[in-house]
Amino acid sequence: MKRFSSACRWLLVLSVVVATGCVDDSFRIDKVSTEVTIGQGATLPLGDLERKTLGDLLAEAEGIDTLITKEDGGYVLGVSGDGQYSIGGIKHIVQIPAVKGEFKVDYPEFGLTDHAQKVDEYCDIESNYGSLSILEGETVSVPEGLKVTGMEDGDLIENFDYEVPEMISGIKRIYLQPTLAGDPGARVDVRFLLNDLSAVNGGGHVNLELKAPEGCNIYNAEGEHIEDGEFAVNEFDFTADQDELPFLIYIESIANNSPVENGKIGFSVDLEYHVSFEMTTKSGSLNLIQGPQLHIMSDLAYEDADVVLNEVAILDHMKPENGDVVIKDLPEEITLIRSLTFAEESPLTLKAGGFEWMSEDLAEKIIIDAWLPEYIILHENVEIGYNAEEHKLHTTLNSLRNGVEVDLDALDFGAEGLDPKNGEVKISFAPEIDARIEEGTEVKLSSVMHEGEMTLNAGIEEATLDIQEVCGYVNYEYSYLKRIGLGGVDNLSIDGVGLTPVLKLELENPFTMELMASYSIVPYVDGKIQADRAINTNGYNGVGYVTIPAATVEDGVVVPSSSVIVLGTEASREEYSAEEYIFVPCDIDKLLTGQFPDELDLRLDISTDLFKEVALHALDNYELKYDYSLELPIELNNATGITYEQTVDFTKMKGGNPFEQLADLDYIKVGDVAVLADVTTTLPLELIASADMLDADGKVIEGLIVLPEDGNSIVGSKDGVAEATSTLRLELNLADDGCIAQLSNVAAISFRLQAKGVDESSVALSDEQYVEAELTLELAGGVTADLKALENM
Amino acid sequence: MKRLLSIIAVLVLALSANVVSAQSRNSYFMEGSYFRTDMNPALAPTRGYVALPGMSGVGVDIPSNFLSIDNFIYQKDNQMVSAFHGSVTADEFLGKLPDTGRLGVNANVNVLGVGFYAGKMYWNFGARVRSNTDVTISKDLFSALKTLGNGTYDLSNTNISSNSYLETYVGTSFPIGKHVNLGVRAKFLVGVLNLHTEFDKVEAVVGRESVAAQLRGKVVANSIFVDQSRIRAGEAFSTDMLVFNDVSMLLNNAKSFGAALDLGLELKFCRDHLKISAAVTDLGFIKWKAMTNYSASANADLRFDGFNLQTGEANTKAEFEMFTDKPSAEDYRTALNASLNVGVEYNFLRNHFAIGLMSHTEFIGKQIYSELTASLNIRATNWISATVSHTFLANNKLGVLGAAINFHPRVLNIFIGADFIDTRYGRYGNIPVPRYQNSFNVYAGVGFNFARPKFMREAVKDVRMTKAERKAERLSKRYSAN
Repeated sequence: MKRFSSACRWLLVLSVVVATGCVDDSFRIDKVSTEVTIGQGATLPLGDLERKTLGDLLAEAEGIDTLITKEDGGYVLGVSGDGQYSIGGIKHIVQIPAVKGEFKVDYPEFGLTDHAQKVDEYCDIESNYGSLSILEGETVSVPEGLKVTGMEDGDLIENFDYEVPEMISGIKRIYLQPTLAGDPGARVDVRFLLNDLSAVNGGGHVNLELKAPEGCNIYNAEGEHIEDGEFAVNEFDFTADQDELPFLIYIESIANNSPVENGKIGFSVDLEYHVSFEMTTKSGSLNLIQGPQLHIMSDLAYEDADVVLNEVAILDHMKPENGDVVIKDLPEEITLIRSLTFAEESPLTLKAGGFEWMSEDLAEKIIIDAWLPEYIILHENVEIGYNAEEHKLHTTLNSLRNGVEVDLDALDFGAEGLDPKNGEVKISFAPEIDARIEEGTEVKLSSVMHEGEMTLNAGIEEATLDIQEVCGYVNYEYSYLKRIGLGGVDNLSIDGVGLTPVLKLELENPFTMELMASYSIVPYVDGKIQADRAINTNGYNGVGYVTIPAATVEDGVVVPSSSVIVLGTEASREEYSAEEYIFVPCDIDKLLTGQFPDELDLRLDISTDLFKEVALHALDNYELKYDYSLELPIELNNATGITYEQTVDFTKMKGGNPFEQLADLDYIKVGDVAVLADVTTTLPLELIASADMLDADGKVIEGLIVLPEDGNSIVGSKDGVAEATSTLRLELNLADDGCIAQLSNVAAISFRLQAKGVDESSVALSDEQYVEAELTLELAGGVTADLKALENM
Repeated sequence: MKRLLSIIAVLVLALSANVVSAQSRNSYFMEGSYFRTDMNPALAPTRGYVALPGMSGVGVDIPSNFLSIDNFIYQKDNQMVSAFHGSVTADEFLGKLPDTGRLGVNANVNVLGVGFYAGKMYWNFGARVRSNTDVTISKDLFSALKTLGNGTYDLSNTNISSNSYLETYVGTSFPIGKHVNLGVRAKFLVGVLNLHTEFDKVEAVVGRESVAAQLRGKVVANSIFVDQSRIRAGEAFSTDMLVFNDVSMLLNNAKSFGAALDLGLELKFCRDHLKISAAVTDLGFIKWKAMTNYSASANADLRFDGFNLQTGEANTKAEFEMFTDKPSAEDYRTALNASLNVGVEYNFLRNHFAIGLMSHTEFIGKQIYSELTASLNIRATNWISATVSHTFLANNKLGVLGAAINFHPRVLNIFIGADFIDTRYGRYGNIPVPRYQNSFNVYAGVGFNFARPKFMREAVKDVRMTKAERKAERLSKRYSAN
């Protein structure tokens, strides 16, 4: 036990000593460095530079539109363009103002002599007094209830005579003037008078019949028409205090069959009557001096007549005193107009005015013959009475008053034509007019009677005409200049170019007339004109110009003609021998000898033949369209610089430039950093690679990228088909122990691969050969960061 | 005295509820400790005991085979640096790490425990909650961080598994003859939580053309907290799918049962000086019921192909989805993490000292972890013993020792120990910090003790007789018999 206790005590002491003696004061966990390094090196993907073919690389040079590969593998640089020239057109919609020609008319007198006839007749009625003995002048006593009767038949005949003017060949009916307004005719008052018998009038009954004569229009008191030969019957009872009884008829008109002889015509009215009465006397004394009578009264006055006329001439081949048509806004280039052809829908309205007092019916009976000016070519139209051959319009005054529409085909001014002055032509419009009333025309005399001066005007209404074509002589002369830039070709450093350049010019002629086209090309080098290298069409075909065919018209639509003019050397003639081309041989290769021009001035002159009559289809605007293409064959050789260039602009990345965010990361460092570019190419060209880091202003950040000392060339493809891949290493030179904050001012990285040249015995270049690159980021040595800095953020 | 005893009793009551009977290696050879029965049911303590609920105790077991300060902090040129400092080479850092890192968190909470002797048979029964969580980490993870470069990093070895269950047990230990003790402990288990991950693929590939990462994994779980009526297949996981407050539902869900067996053997030789023991513990399974199944799948794809140098856009593709699967309608079984403990002890100086060697092998899923603990056990008296040990093979460095002390008089049993105590320290300020130990393990417990059984007293006495005393006794017995 003692031994055990002693051992335990020593073990305890030993434990304490061991425990307290094993604390390493130098092992300070609270002093551990916060710097950590993650990774030892990795190569991470960065991105790909897009594949570009040789065609793409050459096409990116400015001013070069296309790169055409010829069959023999050669290249042709193409510069092309198009455009159009606007040449003022012919204002083919013209407004013709209204034209009126005036004719003074000597109008004949048509009136009949004024004639009025008064009728005032008393007709005795024979009476029977019965047993009463009546002695004239004696007074007898008459008993009451004695019947007295009477009856009388008779005729009242009135004769009318008139003097008739010579233009009236007959009068068919005379119309009598109504006595009072509202009467159906002249009033005829017929009264039954008892006279002295009234002293013993005890009332009675009277019957009066008046017969309507043949050809007379008679109306009874009620206004009812009495037919010819019929009687107007009036029966009345009268009382003891009625001494007289009125009866009424009206005579409206009287027919006549008598001819006019020696300027006179007479006719009569035979008014047959029958009257009877019966009276019962009252007692009284009767001194019968005057027995019953019939009293007829009337005023028969002439009002109007239905007459038949002889032929009456109102106008006899007369021309108006004034009337001009003016067509304005014609282009100055038109020097002489022979004719103007109008579009199908070009109506012209001929119209006459004056004689407004004349009724439609009468106007319809006045025949107008109008001979239009010869230059007016209208469409034949029988319906309206136009005879194209005679240039004559046969119509009535009524139709002309309403307007006669004719279709204007053309204005043909004949061989002499019209000479526009200041874009205007004035045309005289003076039709010859014949106006008459034809023989046998029946009219109401009042309708043809008119007093005062009379003027007839005839002409055309305001019209809008569509000029379709102008025939005559035109003088178009225009020059156009187009500057074609060939800039950017320097980037390609072309040398040893081929000798068969070609300039093709395709012109669309909008005129329905031939044009004469000539043009010239003048090169410029560094802004200076190279006049000695200019080329033109002088001397071509002996005339120095190319004739451009006229446009055609199909279904009323102008179809421009298209011509392709090719300028080239004789060597190119065969290639452009087809009919579609107009080949103009010239020494165009002068353009390319010596220093390659920066610019070309292409001048085009067009004109018309002054001495050739043309038919110019009218358009509001003429557009002369052109397409040009200049093809310059080239050969790539050692001087050729084909460059692949791509700049990665980090400022355009989503979320902004990631490098800017490195500015605060000064606690992060990297070891060796390099961008590896695996370049793959099928170009049989050696490529020299370079790269720059650019700041926000586009300036190169010097010394940041270090190219390999052993060269930066990329091997080309051996056969132009198989891919050749090389890796280029671009090291980033980060001073200050590799702190990545140094990259914070990087805004872009520019990569460039430049072809070194073409070997003399090299594989042919082809449009489809390409170059592309895959970029990776190599981080050797990992990424070191101080975690304490991260905590403080 | 009585008052003192009362105070101690209160302390015991206060402390013994959560007595942690973690696999305390040091307790294996400590005769007074009833925790040793957990490691070998044949090894009974010298006294019976009572451990009551509602009393506190502390026990934490965080086994690890890589998580030591020394593996991650270095001294370079008088400067303290982390393993990820540039001055620490990859070989230096990675050479210290195992191929598969392991980190566990184990906790055992005694709810109730009683042990007593009936004659020579020792009976013990109790109930406790056990939780084992294990995380395996692929070395590639550290390799990727340290040496990130072009290559493929396979992290599919990373797994998480966790098991929690309620264990009720009844065990016995009985001698057969003088030299053999057998022990058996039968356990009835009620599963609370089973969780494990299955990663088909966790891979990162760093290359010149692309940087890609892929994850294909699955989480399979079963828990009484799962309410399947709230699970919608295809939806992301949400704690709404779990129930914590509904006790009746939790009890209704507790239908995942299992059983386990501990078997142990002790052989004594040379008058009990040499003892060889072996035991298999936690040999069993739990059958997890389908009604509380839960599983979720996680798929992630990340790819970076560089930038579009024309537009500046990054060519990335990132897809992640984690969705709940339709719960399996089938029950499944999981095996417990069985252990095999084999020990050899030789006591001397009348059993006041004993040297022991214990092999502990743990079977966790498909992984096998083995360690060997050598200990010096000091049994000063019948009521106090101490142990000093060192565990080998668990990536445990020399200088990391274990120690425990157990007071086990008649009434009280106080145990405190730790299997990993570093003898070399650094400092964090004024606080010493162990440098070399990977694992952390502390346990302490208080319980009531019964009196030692008579046969145990005589056995001890017999062991402690000197050679001369023994001879005198032997002669005395012969003479008596004659």
